[in-house]
Amino acid sequence: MEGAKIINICCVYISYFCGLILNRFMLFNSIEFALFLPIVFLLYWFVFRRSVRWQNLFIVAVSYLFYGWWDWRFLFLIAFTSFCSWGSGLLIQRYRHQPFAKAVHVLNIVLNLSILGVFKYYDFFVTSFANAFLHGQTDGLLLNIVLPVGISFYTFQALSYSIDVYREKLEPTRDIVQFFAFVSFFPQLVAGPIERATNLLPQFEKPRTFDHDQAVDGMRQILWGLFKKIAVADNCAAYVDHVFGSYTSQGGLTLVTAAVLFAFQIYCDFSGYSDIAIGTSKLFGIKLMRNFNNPYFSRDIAEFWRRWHISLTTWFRDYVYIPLGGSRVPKGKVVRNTFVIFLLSGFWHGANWTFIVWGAYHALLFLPLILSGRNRKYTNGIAEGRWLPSISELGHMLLTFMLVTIGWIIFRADTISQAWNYIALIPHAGGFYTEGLVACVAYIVLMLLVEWIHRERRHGFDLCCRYAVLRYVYYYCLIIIMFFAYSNSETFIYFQF
Amino acid sequence: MKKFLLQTLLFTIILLVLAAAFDVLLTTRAVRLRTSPFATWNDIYQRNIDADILVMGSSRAFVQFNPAIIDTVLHTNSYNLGMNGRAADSQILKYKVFRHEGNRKPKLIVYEVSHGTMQKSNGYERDQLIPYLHDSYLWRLFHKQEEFSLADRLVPSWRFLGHNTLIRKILFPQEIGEHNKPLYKGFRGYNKKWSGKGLRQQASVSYTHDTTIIRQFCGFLDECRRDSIQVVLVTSPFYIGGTKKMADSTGMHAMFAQIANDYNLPYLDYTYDELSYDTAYFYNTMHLNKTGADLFSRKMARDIDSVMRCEKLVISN
Repeated sequence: MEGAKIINICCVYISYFCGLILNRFMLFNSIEFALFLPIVFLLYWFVFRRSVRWQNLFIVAVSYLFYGWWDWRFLFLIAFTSFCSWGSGLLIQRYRHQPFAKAVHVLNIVLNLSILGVFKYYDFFVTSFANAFLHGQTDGLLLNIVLPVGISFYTFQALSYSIDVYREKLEPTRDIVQFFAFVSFFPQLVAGPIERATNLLPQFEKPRTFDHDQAVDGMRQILWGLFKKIAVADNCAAYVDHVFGSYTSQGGLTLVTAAVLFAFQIYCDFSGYSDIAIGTSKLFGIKLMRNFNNPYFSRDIAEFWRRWHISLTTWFRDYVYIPLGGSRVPKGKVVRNTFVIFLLSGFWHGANWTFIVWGAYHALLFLPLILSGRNRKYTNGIAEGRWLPSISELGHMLLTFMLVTIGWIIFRADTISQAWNYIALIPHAGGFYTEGLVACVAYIVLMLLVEWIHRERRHGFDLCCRYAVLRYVYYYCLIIIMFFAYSNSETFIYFQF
Repeated sequence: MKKFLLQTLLFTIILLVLAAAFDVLLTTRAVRLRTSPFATWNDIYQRNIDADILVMGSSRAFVQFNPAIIDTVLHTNSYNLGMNGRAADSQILKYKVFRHEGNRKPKLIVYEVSHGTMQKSNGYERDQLIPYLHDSYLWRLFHKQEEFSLADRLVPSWRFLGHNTLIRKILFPQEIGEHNKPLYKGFRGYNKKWSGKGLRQQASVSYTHDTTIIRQFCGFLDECRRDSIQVVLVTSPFYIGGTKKMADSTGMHAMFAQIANDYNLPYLDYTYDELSYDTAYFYNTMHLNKTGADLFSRKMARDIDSVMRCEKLVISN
């Protein structure tokens, strides 16, 4: 009888976990990940620490498990992308300085971008073409395929490797496991940071040793990322979704508030994910690049783009902008280059005209700075050596934030006309929607305060407090706030890109 | 590594202890609540329901069947197990918990059946189950339907995560106001006047049924027959303006009449009762106010008395 009961309980547990495996993505802010991470951590350091190869093999296995949790069929796509880039690296090296190397290099780029294009942009191009020439008739032309999560991130990461090998900035690796670990490393697989092979690949070559301080810092960064996601982003999302869903019946002040809250939602959602990814990597002895550096404290648009989604911005800078000549070309070409990278950056986010217009809008904001040579005016820290910014700095920060927020309206809208209507309705008076607003503002103020205090440190919650007890109090306070702030678990915005 | 693991372990233990303490605080406070929807669950778990007559159904049972009046007319002890916003699937599961906890088997079940009875429950007032998820029987019955996870059951305080309204209801019940005044034997009468709002919005109210719920309901009737519990199906008054707007209401009544016929049960249909024609007795299309509920309860109790006399059944003490 007891045996039957135990079997019954086991069946319940197994069916529960099998249920999780089917058609669910393992989000960083989920209970599944909270179970997954410690198990992987312990196995990594206690079972697979014998050799680098074993550790890499284990990383590939758990990364594929992590991704396959959502949809195992798309594992073949990652494997194929990885294999093509790895193979092309070896062929480029073998046929160095021969036309065949260039052919392989171009073929690899075309292949990777074609995969991305088919999955992400095919339906968009067909629909746009049909709207322009076929009176919107798309019968039988659309593929309607599911967009593989994180495809833009891992494709760009794999591409960076083959390009660097071709440019002789990097020696190709012969170790396929090492390369597969580089492309599929689970903390940053689905939403970045988009790592460079020159930074990440060498870390998979060396034996990793456990660093206590780094691991503690990683845990702290994970906690901060969770706070930004759960408390700020998810709470703002409820307000923003309501207002954007009914913007025609909302007053101007509500529309402005929703736009501002969306600015914080997208920042905390994406930078929260990056914090968790970077923090998780630290637990495995891997250092990922910083992806956000307090972008809303920027004093102009150029500084904003040095602080926002750094891994993508620098990717476009290194692999598109500089090869086109960058800013060291005649002014006409500077304008062209600026538009190219901003439009590409917008288009990278998704197959929608709103993203392209958003990119063009930022190009227009950026151009005056670059043409007048003032794009590197603010390369120093903000309010260095002071507690508070000066009035002038504050003014510049608010102006930059306002300009960025206008861009976010375009980004958030479903269509260009919706974005335009939204902005046009702002001057109109009307009621003020306040549901959940006080909590959102409180969480945003807390987040800004903490990030301002730590603005010169490695991340937003890089505590400088010497007293362990006080640090623990901070941690528990954050967890208590998250407990009460928790709303229905929302997926991360950048997964769709 | 050892230091890191110890620190993490210590951090987790402290966190779990805090979470467990908070969980215990909320659970112990919740079991003392006399407000809706916790009062009936607490009565079930504390075996306070010693009833000969059990009223079952949705909010139309919860706010319309007054046990005080039923007791007076029938000289018996009744209890209202009505479940706000829920269909037969949830109502039957609640009854199962009631029986599983060792409450006395009733002699008669008055089952309110109407347009929502045979639909699938949509998770309305799902929070009401959260304080009782530690009960493995309740968890087994409800976790799939209500989409509770294993973490809700196993991790301390997890089930309360983000349920701030529920936590406030439990910790500060005095703040909640008129809406959640203590129940009397599971019943709540509303002293509200007709607003007409519901009738204007009634385009969305329609009768539908789910065959799995009908099967479940018939299974419940079979179980009652096995347990020698007499069941009476009752369709309580529905404001006539609403009935006229409802699509296929005759089909619904025919279905209940058919079920009653198949199981040889009395079916009392008050759809066209005189109460249904007067807005003074309603606060919205489908709910009688306190005055209407008291009048209806008296009338229904007398009718049940007549039926019982005909069937030669004794339900009074």
